[in-house]
Amino acid sequence: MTTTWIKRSFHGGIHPPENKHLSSLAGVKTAALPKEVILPLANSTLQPLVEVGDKVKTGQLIANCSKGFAANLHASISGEITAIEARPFTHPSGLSVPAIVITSDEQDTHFEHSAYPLWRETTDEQLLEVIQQAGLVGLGGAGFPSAIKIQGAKQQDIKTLIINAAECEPYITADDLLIQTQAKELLEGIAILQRLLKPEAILLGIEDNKPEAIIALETALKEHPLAADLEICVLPTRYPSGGEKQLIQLLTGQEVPSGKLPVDIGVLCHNVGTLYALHSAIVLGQPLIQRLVTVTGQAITQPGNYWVRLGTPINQLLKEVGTKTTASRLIIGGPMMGFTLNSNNYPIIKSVNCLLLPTEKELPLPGVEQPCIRCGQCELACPAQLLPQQLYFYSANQAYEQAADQQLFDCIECGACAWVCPSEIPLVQYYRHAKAELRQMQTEAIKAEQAKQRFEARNARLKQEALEKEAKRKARAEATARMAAAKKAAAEKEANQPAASKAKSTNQAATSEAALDNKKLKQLKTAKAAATVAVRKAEKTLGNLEVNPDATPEQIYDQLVMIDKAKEQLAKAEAKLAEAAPLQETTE
Amino acid sequence: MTRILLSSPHAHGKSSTSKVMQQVILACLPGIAALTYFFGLGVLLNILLACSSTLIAEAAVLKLRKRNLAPLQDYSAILTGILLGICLPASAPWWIPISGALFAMLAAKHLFGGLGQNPFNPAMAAYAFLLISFPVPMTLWPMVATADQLSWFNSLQGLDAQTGATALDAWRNKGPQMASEFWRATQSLSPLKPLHPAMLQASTYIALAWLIGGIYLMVKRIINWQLPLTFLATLLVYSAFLWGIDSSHYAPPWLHFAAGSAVFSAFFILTDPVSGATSVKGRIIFAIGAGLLVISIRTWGSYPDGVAFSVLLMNFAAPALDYFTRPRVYGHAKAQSGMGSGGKK
Repeated sequence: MTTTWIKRSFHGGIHPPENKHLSSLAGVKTAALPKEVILPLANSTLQPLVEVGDKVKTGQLIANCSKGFAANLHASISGEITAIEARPFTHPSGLSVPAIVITSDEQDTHFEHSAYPLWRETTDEQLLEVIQQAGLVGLGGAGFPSAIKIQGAKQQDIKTLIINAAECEPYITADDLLIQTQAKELLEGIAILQRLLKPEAILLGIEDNKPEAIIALETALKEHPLAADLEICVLPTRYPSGGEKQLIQLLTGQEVPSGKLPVDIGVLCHNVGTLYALHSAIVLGQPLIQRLVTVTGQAITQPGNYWVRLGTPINQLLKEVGTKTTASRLIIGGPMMGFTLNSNNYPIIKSVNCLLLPTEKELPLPGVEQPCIRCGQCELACPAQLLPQQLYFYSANQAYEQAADQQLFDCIECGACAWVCPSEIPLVQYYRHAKAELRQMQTEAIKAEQAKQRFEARNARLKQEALEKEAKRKARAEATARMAAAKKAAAEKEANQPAASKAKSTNQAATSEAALDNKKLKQLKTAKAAATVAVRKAEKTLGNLEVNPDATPEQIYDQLVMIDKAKEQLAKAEAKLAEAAPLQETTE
Repeated sequence: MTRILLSSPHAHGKSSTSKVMQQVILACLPGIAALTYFFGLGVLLNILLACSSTLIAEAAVLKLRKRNLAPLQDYSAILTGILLGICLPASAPWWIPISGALFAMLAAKHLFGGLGQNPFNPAMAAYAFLLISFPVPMTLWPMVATADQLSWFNSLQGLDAQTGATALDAWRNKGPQMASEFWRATQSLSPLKPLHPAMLQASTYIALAWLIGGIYLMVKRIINWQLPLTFLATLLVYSAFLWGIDSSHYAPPWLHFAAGSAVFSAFFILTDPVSGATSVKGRIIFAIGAGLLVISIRTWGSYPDGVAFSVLLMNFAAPALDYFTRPRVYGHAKAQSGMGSGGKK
């Protein structure tokens, strides 16, 4: 076992007031069992497996994704499904998404899942299956399904497994307290991941402002099989050391190449909360139905860390912890990267690690935005070593492409620049807007390119068809000329033959041939008429589509194809008719 | 209850533009005190006239542009006035600071869009304007007060007071004289001596006073070390190089350092963020360029001191410097530079 003090650093960074004591001194409590939980189907591929009126037990699977894109959802309390309807979703947009609402029977009877306390003797496949079933997601805030992340990493060669316990956001202490109270379980979770990924090194990054957690880890590690493999890396406290890219830089000295993922350089990061949940899922057979949430801010009467069942309405949790004064803001997450919600009518979801209710004195509302004086404070603070003042200049002047050229997409939106800005410019907001505009422009460019390709392909095809038609017409004209010449020759020959035999033979041949030709000709004429009608009909539909605002380009394109087909039919019919016509002429 | 929706971050550090400006003004005080001690109350009068003119001009322009008057409280106009006032000869007539301040605010700042938009340092633009338009009153400095004559009481009388050449001016006008002859002449008792030793002494003390203010700003992290230190280093190295070639004709490095506005400019003029280069590397090049230009103008130009022109010339170069000195961004193997690809990848 080793504890290393990391001396490496990343560019920039800031030291905002930590305010962690507000919640860290209060210990860990369990929030009261909610009377009702709202479990949003966060991903549109999630399908409910229950119906209104069904009785469910705590931990029972209630929604899954057949394709495995989204993490499973489990009932977090026992009771009855009372609604499956759109409810406000805990997301910056504040939009509503379908949610499963469970009313508690207050029994909290648990659904029995198979547990693997002796997981060391289980196969990898079995463990991955449990992880997938348990609905684990990254609990650090990103909420990415863990099963997908781990399975993806298993395909690659992971050299370094990084456990993120930096918790660099001010106010939040959920990871700190989790380590202090559940160090052994956490180590077991790390061991499971070690077993699955077989990394060469396991590094746990933790800021030096959590001495109790470091001691708890060291104590637990002494008696754990991981002792030889896990390195506790103590980082100097500096925001944003817990940012994935910054943490990788601090611990390995490597940088994640722009536009790539950590796995591309053989690194995988996991948050301590996720690893604890991994332990619960495998060793205890408990799917993800609760999480540790820091409830803090000076407007809270009893700030602290609470084990909260997923889906608990924020309203109810705030009632339990008590609010002193009216806070103007409810922040989900920390003060640097969290987002605000317009009311308390939202549920706690898997990615919520902190509820922050600050008073206005504590976190003053932003002042008036002043002009940028290019003082360069932001540049010194930027952990991505960007030039935020230039990004701002281009973003604010809507020169989005120049902003992209200044590597706008390497911005991690940590907010360090806006924190130091003496002109109080909401820089991150400008960057988000510029990024959204650029993404929109990109989508439109792709669409335009596709339309262009379709148009060009169609033109080429029409040209080809015209050429073919022309060739056919020529061939036909030649055939007619040949036939006329043959006829002339025959007529001359006949003129030389005796009159009687000529008249007889001509008559015979004419009657039989004329009957056959007439029948064929009629058929061909009908076919031509049908083809003409088809072309007109298709053209009329196209006309309707073109005036219809709802018609999609695909529909119009399909219609164009249909017209072309009909025209082709018509051309064929005409060609056949033309071929038949000379025959007819000879008989008449 | 409806709550406010805001974009992150929700916390903000304690810095603000007005606090930055206040600190700079505070750091100016030792230098202003030294100037006033040696050159008399005319210095304070210049500053007072320049400041009130910049404030009134800014208020008038904001009113004309139908803007909020809040920028008046950010101290930037006052700072411009102070910096301009400091640069002016203490015996300058009253209309010099006023017209300079009006030029700084109207032409150099608000014609370009106000705070944050000006491509040129307003104080230096105004100084250059005054120097070109009114060369005589702009180069006449009053004689410094010596222990035996409390002339700074009388200096309020302005042009009537005795005037003296500044050290750099005297050096420039020494003509083909050898350095040794020049220094011997300054020690002579003749009233026609080219440079009064007290003048040189005064400018050394003043430079030290500015150095104190500058160090304060660096300690407070209001300004970065790159600009002032690179500028002064360039100044010393380049002048030492010339002096090494021919010590009898080129001024010694210490004269360049102590006399004239080198130290003041290093900490208070070059560090104007708006009109300077913004990347760290860009700032270093900016400072080197300004240093080279200052010595060149002082040595071969037609003005005794060249800070204003050097800074204005480097202001021209700032956008290009920013284009070519971008730092290497996290996750990129190399720094991008130049006009870039225009977003096309």
